[in-house]
Amino acid sequence: MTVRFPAMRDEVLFALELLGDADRQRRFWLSPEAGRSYPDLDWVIRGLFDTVVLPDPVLQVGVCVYDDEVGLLVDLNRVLEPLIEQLDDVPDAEYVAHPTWSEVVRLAGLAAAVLRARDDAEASRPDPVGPDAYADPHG
Amino acid sequence: MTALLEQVGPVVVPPPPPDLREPPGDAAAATAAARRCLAAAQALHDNQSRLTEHAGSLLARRLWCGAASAAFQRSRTEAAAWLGNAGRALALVATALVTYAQALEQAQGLARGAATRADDLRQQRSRLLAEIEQARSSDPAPGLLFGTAAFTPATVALQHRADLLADDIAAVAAAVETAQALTRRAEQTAASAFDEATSMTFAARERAALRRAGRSSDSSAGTWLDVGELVGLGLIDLALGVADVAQGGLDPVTDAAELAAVSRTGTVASRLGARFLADDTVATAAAEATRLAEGEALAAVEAETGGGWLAAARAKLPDGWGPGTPASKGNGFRWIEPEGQGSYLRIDPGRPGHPDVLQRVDHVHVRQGFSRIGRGGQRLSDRTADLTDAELDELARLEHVPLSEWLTWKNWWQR
Repeated sequence: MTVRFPAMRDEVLFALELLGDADRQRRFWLSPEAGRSYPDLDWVIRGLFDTVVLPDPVLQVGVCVYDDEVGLLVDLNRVLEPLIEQLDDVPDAEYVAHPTWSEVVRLAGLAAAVLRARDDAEASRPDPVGPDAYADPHG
Repeated sequence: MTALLEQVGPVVVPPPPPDLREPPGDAAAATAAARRCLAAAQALHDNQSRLTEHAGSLLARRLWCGAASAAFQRSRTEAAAWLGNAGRALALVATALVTYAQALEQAQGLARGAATRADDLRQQRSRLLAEIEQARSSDPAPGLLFGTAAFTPATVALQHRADLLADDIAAVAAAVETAQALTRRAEQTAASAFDEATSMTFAARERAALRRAGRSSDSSAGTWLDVGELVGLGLIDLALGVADVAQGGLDPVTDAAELAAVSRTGTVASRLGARFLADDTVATAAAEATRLAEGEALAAVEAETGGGWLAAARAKLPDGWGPGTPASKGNGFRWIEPEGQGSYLRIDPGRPGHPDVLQRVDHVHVRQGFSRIGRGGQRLSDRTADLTDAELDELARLEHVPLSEWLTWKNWWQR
């Protein structure tokens, strides 16, 4: 069984990987070479919340996540959403400096690893994704 | 002979009925206070509805004001919750007052009936004592026949009347006890309701305190949160006052205080009226707070729209996408395709100091069928896993479409 929208899953997965990668955050979010547009925390938020995977991932089971991944995403949301509500629109560096950020990174990294492992396993199958997976649903 | 026989035998006469006091309190005043509480609760409910409808109408009219509208969305939700909560608290108090008034009225009616009956029983007892005394005085051998255990029909009749009198006096005493119990139960019910109402609004006060602490660094939403707090705190004052009444006059320990406690609780309605309802304070304050919220919201929206440019933006979107919702993080607004085909649109306000020039102005993120649409209207790569850091940097840059450009597109996702 595959999810209906693999492209959406890709976006969610990439957002999780960004969120779970402290090294990338240091290099691109805290770097003095600011001025780049490298995917920032807003990108991550869009990838997780505007795709409606968070705050309630169970609604997206079969769409872009599997049911056994819901718990990981719920755990992440339990830490991430209150932090967003608390800090809101401060610079990314303030998020990274927050005491609970390391837990966000840990949970996001864990979720990313699980999703990635699932996708790698799916990719090793003979006919992993149908040709219509990336078709434009509007045309 | 008959008179002699009537004097024979002991006759046990019951003690007189106890002194009776009608449970004090003004049931009519309590009912009137309940009506005012209900009117205030209805006013709060109406204002809650108006606030919600007004927020809906702002969105329906496709007005947009970035930070102000997002903050308004948040604060109106909280303010509406406060209004609803306080309305429910007042309705609870009103219900308790009605119950109290009904029980008090019943108890007072019972007590009045018992008092009338007690007066009658006292007269009966006096007459009985007089008849016994008359029988004793007509005894031909005082102390001889009347002090024996012998019974005659006359002494049996006297004793029978005395026994009936004892039963009636016991019934009157029970009626008094019932009246007192009714009143005590009404007090306790009212006290519980007041406690519950107080706890509801204490929760609201705690929320307000947390909100104040949480917004110390949030200046953009300050106005609206202040309005919300005004509503919330004003109603909390009411609840705290109700709590005073509950603690001052309706403490459950009055269970042991019999009628003395009833006399204190009898003032509950007048105290409520004097402290909180005499000037329709609650309804007036709620209406005023709501009026301020609506007026300031509209003013802020109109000030920031600069002529309502987002009306044009919203008009580009399919009707089925609805009014949109505040986006997570920041003061953006987003619309999501209801069919779940992966399309959405998000508009973020510009951040003047942002290192990326495209993020210094109001900008749009366009996603059509899971594809990012770039500034030039092109589909951007979604296979982020395959991109280098430089390509990701470029991808992130291109997906910020200045709102002013997007507004010139032929539709929401095609340039």
